[in-house]
Amino acid sequence: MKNMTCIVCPKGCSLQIEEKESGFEVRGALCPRGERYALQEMTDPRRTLQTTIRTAIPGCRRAAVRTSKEVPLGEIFSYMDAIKGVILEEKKECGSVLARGLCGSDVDLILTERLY
Amino acid sequence: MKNVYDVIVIGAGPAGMASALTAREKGSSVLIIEREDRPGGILNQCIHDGFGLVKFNEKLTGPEYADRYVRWIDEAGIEILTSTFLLELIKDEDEFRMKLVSAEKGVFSLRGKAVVVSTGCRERSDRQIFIHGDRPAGIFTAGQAQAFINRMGYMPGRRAVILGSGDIGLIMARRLTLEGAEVEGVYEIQSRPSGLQRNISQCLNDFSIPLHLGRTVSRVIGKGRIEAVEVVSVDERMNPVKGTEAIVPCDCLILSVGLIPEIDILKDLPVVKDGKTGGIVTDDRMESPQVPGLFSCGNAHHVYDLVDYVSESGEIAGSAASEFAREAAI
Amino acid sequence: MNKLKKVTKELAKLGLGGDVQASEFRKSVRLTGHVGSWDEKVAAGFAAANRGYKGVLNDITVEGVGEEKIYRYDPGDRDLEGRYFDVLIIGGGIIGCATARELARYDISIAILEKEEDLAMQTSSRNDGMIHPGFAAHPGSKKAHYNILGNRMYTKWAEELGFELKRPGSLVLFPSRLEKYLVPLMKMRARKNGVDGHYRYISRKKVFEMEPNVTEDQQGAFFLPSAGIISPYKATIAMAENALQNGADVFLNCFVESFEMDGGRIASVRIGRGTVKCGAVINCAGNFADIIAELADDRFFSLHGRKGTECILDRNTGLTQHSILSMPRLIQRKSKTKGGGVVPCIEGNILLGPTAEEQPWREDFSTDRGHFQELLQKLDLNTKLSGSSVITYFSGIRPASWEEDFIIEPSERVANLVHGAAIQSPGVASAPAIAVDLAKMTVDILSKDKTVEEKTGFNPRRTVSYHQIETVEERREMVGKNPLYGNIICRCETISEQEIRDVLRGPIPVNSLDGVKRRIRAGAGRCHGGFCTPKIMEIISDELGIPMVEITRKGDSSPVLSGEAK
Ligand SMILES: Cc1cc2nc3c(=O)[nH]c(=O)nc-3n(C[C@H](O)[C@H](O)[C@H](O)COP(=O)(O)OP(=O)(O)OC[C@H]3O[C@@H](n4cnc5c(N)ncnc54)[C@H](O)[C@@H]3O)c2cc1C
Ligand SMILES: Cc1cc2nc3c(=O)[nH]c(=O)nc-3n(C[C@H](O)[C@H](O)[C@H](O)COP(=O)(O)OP(=O)(O)OC[C@H]3O[C@@H](n4cnc5c(N)ncnc54)[C@H](O)[C@@H]3O)c2cc1C
Ligand code: SF4
Repeated sequence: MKNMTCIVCPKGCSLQIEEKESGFEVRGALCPRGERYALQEMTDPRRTLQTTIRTAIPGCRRAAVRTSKEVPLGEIFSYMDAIKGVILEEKKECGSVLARGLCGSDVDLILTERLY
Repeated sequence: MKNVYDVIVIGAGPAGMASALTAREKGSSVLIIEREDRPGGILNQCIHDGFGLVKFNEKLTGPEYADRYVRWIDEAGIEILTSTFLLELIKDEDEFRMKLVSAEKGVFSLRGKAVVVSTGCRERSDRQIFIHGDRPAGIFTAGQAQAFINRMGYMPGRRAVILGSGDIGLIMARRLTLEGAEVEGVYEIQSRPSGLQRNISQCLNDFSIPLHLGRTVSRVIGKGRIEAVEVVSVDERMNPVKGTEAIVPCDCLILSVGLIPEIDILKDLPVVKDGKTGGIVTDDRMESPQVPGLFSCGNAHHVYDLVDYVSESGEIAGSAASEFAREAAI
Repeated sequence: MNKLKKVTKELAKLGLGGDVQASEFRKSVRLTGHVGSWDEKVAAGFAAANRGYKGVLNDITVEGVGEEKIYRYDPGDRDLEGRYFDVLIIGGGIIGCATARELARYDISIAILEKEEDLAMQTSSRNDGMIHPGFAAHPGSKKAHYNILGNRMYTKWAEELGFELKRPGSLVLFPSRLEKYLVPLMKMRARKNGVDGHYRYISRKKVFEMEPNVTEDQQGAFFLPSAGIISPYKATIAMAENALQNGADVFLNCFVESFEMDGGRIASVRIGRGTVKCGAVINCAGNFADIIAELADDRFFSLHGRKGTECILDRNTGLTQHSILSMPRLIQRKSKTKGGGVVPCIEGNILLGPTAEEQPWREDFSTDRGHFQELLQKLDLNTKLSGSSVITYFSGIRPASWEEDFIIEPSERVANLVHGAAIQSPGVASAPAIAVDLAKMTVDILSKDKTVEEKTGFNPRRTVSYHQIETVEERREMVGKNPLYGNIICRCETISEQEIRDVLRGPIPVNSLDGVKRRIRAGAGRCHGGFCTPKIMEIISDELGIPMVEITRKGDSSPVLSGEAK
């Protein structure tokens, strides 16, 4: 049996996962999102990655970004490297896609702040 | 810009913006004062996600959550005076009078029928938790480290010890690791972490950062820049236990040891401070019983752990402030 | 040999007869040997003091106490190589800076050499800032003499140099009725020392009228109205700035490492940045003054560092108290506060302090829990204070001689050296008076070789080029002149971008966070720079063209940041 904390919402339910012949059995989740999280976590843990990138905009040294989807936890540092290669050349709207297909996946890079 | 408003909101964080929107919806004339050069408050530096899960059922980052409100403020045509600092706030008869200053406008005055204080909070420092030893460079509060990394792109250190397991500290442990620093561990004097369990999981466990409970930093070592800290276990009465000391080399110490509501601007008003929360005493409409027309919300009221509830407190205060202003007009 | 026998006997009384040996060295007595604890060394030092010798050289080694690594930083240039100054002052504390200001009246070249990155980094910024009335010092001592004169002179110095001075007076509180009987003795002592003002007994009732927040159990007090307060580091810097404006030089990051002697004179002073020739040298090196004396082969005293920890409370606490509160020295209850008091500082905060601890180090300014807790007991004197208002604490080290008195005299062995040494408390209070004498002694030396005249253009008034704006009205006026006075950077202390830029453009180079903080209180408020530190750094970076990652907290070895993020 494995214990984990659901990170999907702030409730942070304690989940117990047991491997049965029929597959994984999840206990402790207050909602189905928790079950889904646990199953994903057992097979292929993933996280959304947020960080910053450099910009060429005067007076703005860094801009906040995130991945458009969750990326494999084990590859998080490869994604960091790929993201840090991106430089924001000019002001864009919050939510703009700044790069596509990070690390050869279908994950994009999204600008997450309003630039002033 | 006029110089009299129904409702003047001080602080354009999520609490202030929510209260301004609500007051505007209810028909009041509203002005927001913000000392930073942009609205958003502390959210601007919280680039991690986890905001808005309750309110929007979405996992937004701090700046995205702020951006949403800034758009609504724009659409509602609410004025925000940024880079503007409140120097003085007094109540005169049934009106609030304030003196403000900005580079653009110089020193100027405003009057408001109701005032909403949404000035957020500040962090406790190393001096407030009585850390001893040397006084080198390299000691930061978690929020300060967050501002340096996320807003300015500088590293507070490469080998960090984190004291206190507040959420910001946990989030900074992950952030430092992602930026290539080593985090030696998080030390928490209590026997239980103070941050959310989900942050222990996704910020510490994901990166194998150790959490030491019942242990604290007893001494800082280093003349110029910090070189190490001495850590020690404590007994039930929080006194250090002899013989449990260990020296942990590091080049920065990051503190996540609590937040205190920022209400210094109320020093000239007869408000009553709530000893427990550090904010002011209010009724359930967020109004000060001692100073009618003065409302407080967000982290300036008490420290919330979720922004969603901060916004909600802003809505309550904004709505009540609007009502107060309307009654005052009659 | 009578004196030496006496010392040996005293050492034997302490049970140190076997471990410690006394011998004569020139006119002083020298102690050697090895003991198990620092306290034993201290006891031996005191036992040898005031036995008719000029000084005590306490060279006893102590088990487990090694060498101290002294901070020095050499910028790497040789800009001072071969230069000449009539007077070199070693040490940029309050004594060195006051003396420079006094010497600047004469038509001579003067330079202060300070090893730290700024002035007043050591004892002169780590004290209570009290201008003692001159009551506590032993009648007939140098301390008493200079304290009384210094106290008197401060009124004029503060006015001319533009630093704040207040005279709230000092209340020596009587915890029982017994102390009342000491009043005649106290008056007699005050009269002997020449204390200014109408010092007097104050009844219990009157004490509470004056200070409604003192604790109930006080039975009366002795009031000394001439007691004052200043910001010791602002005063030190003001003195140096005025000296500078009258032609003196200040060189920071200049650690004096040795002297080149020539026929019983100091010919030149060696520092990392070159070898500097000089007419005369004044030793104002604080906790290092005995080392400087030794460098000139003029060893006749040694110092022992007595550490004092102090604690500062939030700015609004100052409103709860008017005068300086303390307890009489004679009757301090053992477990309670030992010395010091509760001082309303010039900036509105309350300061508790100091403690007193004999310890081996000259610049270990660390604090510890035990002494801090001891300090917090002083909160008991004022009912409105509590531990939750603590905003910071720090410690300083008093450079004490074994005789426990100042050493202010020309060297007996080196023709062009003057000592301003062992200046412990009340060194701040005495500084102007000490400076006058040190300057006179130096001028006497210089006069042997050339005529030294007073300058015609000496301006005793400091031109103030930066300051902290205090009122809304003043801010209105200043923003009218420059909009950047309206861009508030430090929230807790309401300090604008331009106020910080003014500091950075001041006469003495400032490029660290603490350097800014020492001149105006940017970053010194409740949040301890939590919000404003990054902004102050950006202003320093922009104004002085220093990259962010090179900005320090307090000089070379203390960079704030460790580099760029990815
Ligand atoms: C580091 C950190 C991480 C967090 N992470 C999460 C999370 O993952 N999920 C979540 O839901 N919540 C999180 N929170 C909590 C939540 O973000 C905050 O509680 C919320 O943003 C507080 O909003 P506020 O409007 O009360 O204060 P703030 O956002 O602090 O806004 C106060 C505003 O008032 C301005 N102001 C203050 N004084 C004056 C003055 N005198 N004159 C003019 N303007 C003034 C300030 O400049 C600021 O803009 C986090 C908080 C912090 C600090
Ligand atoms: C806790 C405490 C509280 C006190 N309270 C009071 C008070 O309330 N009132 C009062 O009157 N007095 C008080 N005093 C005493 C007072 O602070 C000192 O007497 C005074 O500051 C001494 O000044 P100074 O210039 O001699 O020494 P310092 O300020 O120590 O200056 C000496 C300088 O010499 C420099 N230096 C040393 N060696 C070298 C070298 N080799 N090369 C170049 N530079 C060198 C040092 O870096 C230092 O800056 C207090 C002292 C302490 C410790
Ligand atoms: S299981 Fe559901 S309710 Fe519980 S933490 Fe996960 S998402 Fe939230």
